[in-house]
Amino acid sequence: MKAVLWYFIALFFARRGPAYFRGFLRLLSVKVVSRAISNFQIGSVEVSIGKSEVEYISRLAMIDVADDEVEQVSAKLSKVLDLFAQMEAVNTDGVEPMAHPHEVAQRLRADEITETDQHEKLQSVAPATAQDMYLVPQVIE
Amino acid sequence: MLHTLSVKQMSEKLHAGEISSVELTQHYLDRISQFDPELNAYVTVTPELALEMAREADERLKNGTAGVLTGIPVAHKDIFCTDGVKTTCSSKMLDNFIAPYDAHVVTLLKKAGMPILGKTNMDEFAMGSSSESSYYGPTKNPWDLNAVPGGSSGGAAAVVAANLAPMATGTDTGGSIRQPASFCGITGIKPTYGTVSRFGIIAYASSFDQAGPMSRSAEESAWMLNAMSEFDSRDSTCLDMERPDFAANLGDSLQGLKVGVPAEYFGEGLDPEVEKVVKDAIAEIEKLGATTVPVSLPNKDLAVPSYYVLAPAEASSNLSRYDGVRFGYRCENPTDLQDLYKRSRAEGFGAEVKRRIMVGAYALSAGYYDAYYLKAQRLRRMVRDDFTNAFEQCDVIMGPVAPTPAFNIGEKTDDPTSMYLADLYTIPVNLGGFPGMSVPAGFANGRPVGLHIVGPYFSEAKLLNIGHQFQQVTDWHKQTPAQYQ
Amino acid sequence: MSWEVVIGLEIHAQLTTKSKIFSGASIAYGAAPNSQACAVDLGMPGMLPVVNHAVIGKGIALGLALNAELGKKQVFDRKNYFYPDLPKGYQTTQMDYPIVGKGYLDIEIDGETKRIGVTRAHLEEDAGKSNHGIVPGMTGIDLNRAGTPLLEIVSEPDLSSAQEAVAYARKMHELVTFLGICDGNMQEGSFRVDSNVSVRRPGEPLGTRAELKNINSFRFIEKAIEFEIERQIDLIESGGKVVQETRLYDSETNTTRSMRTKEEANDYRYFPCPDLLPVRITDEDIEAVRATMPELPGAKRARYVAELGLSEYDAGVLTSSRAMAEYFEALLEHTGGKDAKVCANWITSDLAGALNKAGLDIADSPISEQMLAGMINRIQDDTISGKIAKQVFDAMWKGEGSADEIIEAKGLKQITDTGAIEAMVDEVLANNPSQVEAYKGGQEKMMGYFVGQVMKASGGQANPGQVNKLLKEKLSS
Repeated sequence: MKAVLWYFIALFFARRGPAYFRGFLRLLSVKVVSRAISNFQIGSVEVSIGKSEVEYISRLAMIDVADDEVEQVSAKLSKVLDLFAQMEAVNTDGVEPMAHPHEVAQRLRADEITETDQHEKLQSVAPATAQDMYLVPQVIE
Repeated sequence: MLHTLSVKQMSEKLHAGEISSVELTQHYLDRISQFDPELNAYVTVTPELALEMAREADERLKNGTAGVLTGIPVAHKDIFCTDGVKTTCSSKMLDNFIAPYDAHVVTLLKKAGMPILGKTNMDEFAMGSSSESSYYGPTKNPWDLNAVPGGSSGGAAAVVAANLAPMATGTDTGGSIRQPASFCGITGIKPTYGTVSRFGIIAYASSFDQAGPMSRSAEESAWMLNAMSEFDSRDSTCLDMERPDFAANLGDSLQGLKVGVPAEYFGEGLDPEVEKVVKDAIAEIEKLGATTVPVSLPNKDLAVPSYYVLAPAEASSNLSRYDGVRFGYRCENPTDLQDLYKRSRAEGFGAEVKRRIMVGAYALSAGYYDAYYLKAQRLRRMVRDDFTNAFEQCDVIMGPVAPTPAFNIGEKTDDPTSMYLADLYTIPVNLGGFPGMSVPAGFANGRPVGLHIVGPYFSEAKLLNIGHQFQQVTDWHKQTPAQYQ
Repeated sequence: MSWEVVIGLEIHAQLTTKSKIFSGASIAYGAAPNSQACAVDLGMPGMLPVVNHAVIGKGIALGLALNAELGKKQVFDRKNYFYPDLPKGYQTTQMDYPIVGKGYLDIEIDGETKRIGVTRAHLEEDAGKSNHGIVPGMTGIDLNRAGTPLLEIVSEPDLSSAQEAVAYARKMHELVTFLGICDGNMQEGSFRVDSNVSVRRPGEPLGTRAELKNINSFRFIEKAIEFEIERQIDLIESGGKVVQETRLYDSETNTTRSMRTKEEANDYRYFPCPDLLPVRITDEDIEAVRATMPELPGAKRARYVAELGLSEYDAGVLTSSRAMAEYFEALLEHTGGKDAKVCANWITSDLAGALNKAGLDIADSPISEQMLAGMINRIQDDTISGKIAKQVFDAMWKGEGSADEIIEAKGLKQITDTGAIEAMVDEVLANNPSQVEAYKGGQEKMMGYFVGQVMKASGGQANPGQVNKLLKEKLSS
């Protein structure tokens, strides 16, 4: 059953051209498979945001969403995504994505040391430091 | 009364020694104490710094090293980092943040000799169109305390409108200079993307953010833009080219100017009174020798969804640095690293900021990148090309800044998308990176309305002159709410 | 049934710039915590990146050395994730448009040359470092390393044994150090090798791979891969399955163990960094780099054999690092370029031995190229013999001065006065009549004995050539 679903999802992306297929590959590359399957209606990218999506987005954004906020958050996010759905119908074939207003190249900096040790000043706004280091709860590796 | 003078008059009096900058600055500080409690337009007032800088300005006025803006006080939007003075971006996240550096704009305006009165209120992290999302509470519109001043540079617009500063800095990512300028009846210009350095401006959406001046008249904005734009190698997107004298064209005739009027800017949803004000203003400009041509911006409606994918996507990444580790808010007693991150960010950011971060993260996430982010970038190009095509038929485009005059406080806070649509005329200009200006043009339902003037890249001097010529035959920009006269 | 091993390497090479990839802070190793983390590196609000010119040149140099396609247009992307050593919450890297595209590196395995594909190499910024134990229950973050420029060099999965993997890693190490784009210091983390290891039955699709990280010597990389191959084969043969994970190598037990798996695979949300514009390089930029590129080790080695007449072995040792080759070439120059073999011998035997014993790199050799050349010149002008030279070498190593000073102070000057040598020869022959008899009776090997006796009598200082000549004359008369 799962395999059949995957087949259709692959087909969906592949038929929409290489850019979409790249999206499919991204999809494969992470463990969001079940999430994606539950949301994708074949032929449309319209999405409504449920509890598990809110949890996933909360993890990506690293923002805690309390249980009693989930409903409100999902309702408002869904509204925003409805706005996005307006883009779906537009044919953008052959249009190059635009990242910046001006088509200019990156300027390069000379390889020179221009910064001096400012750690005392810079750490004066830090929440917690010791021995000139920033402190966080123990990280286990 | 000093605050009723134009900046030009102030400058003349300062240079003539008739008034001192200390006197002028103190006058504004007094007005701030008197009126700001009801307007809530300043987050921080810096009397000591202001007077200290005013004394230095007076020195320069005496020793002949003063420029046109030396001694004229200024208010900085609280998004510009100011060395030694709190920079909050109107967020709890940065409530205790004192930047150890100045934004490039701040450096330049210090160099120009403009005493800093304080930092103005705004939508948190510049995300909003009403200045209601500030951690420090909403700023009120000086024309009607029940109305919003617009946003995100609402505090900046309000302080100029209420004469709590003669000039102010703003930033415009999707309309954040022009829309509050329109709502408060002042002049504001967003220059071509890359004209003003973004160094030291707290980033919202990097490929859109652009700073500009806010003042009563176009002439004043031209002077201030001259002072605040200079090539800065620290911002990779700052254009490495000679800046023109933005005041050089003030005085050019509008004879032969071709004004494009896009039908799409006068369609459904536009308040009829706003429409009348804008059309009357365009008619006034025609009287000055301009002619109008119909132009088309067919993809205008795609601008809003495109922008609300791209700007939050950039923001979601730009705001990842607020993690409670090196600066800013940190939650109490984090149990572990995840808890530190998740709670610091949940408690430190307000609802709209969190929403945009989450929307942006979602738009970039696996499986949605192409459908949302890349699609929006393609639409961005289509919207930009619409303008480029239109500028083949006209010199500038005119229309409304916003579909309505200032709305009431609380009116749109429950529905984020209705707030987003308030920017539908300004956003396309940011997608393209074009310069755009709002010039006071009248009133609708007793609230100010601005005329939106948009030009091709690097046409700021032309736009400012159009505003200036318009202001030679109108006095909308001189009007002040009765209680702040 | 047999197993096929498939290995691909990801190598992170820190670039030898002065300043960071996006800021003007120093990248020097070992500074006090956070003293080299400027506002840009810390991701302070309003701070913006600007690309360091030098990283582009170094990337181009690697691309040229790998015969790779070069990215005429490069785009820096943001890789988004939260970690305390990543100040901005994203790593700026090149995803879709890297500086170096497909290329290759040839390695030698059992005398055969094997071509290993290089998939790509891209520029990115390094992260900071975590320190444990400075405050109980807390981790301290030092961001000095944050923003240090890295080239991540990704190989094709063309390597089929631990030996090949290490040969490739060594070759890449030699290349980047030769190019001078990386100092190659593995202990300090300047050159880091991550290995992706999997096994499969011949003809079957690729197996699941495990990644081995943070191994700081070639020897341990080889051992770790060997262990991992065995582990995977044992696992599959006993009915288990390899899971995709990162494993750490423990050199004490010579085993690998699973790193705590993160709660969910990361969704990095790559997108083009809006604070940076595409980097564009022109053919002129590429040619400018090519013009300043040093001769690469392979070409150098071939030239040493063909033009200088060195053995493959000596040529290999002398090109094992850029410093070694530079030492050799300087030595050759200071000795007038007359005898490459002599120069090579002194480096590969005496100097290499002494350095090795003292644990020193050639760059830190107490005997400079000029000093060693001074000594070799004295051998060549017959001031000292090769044997005496060893004494001089030892004295120079101990810091007793230049070759000339030592020869003078110790009176090591060779005796070239024919009369004096002749007297010694006569004496030796007179004192050894039976040996002279034997020699004349056909035992020519006695010559060695006579030479030794004369040299002994001269305290080693007689010119051996002259001794030989005189002995032959006297004995044949």
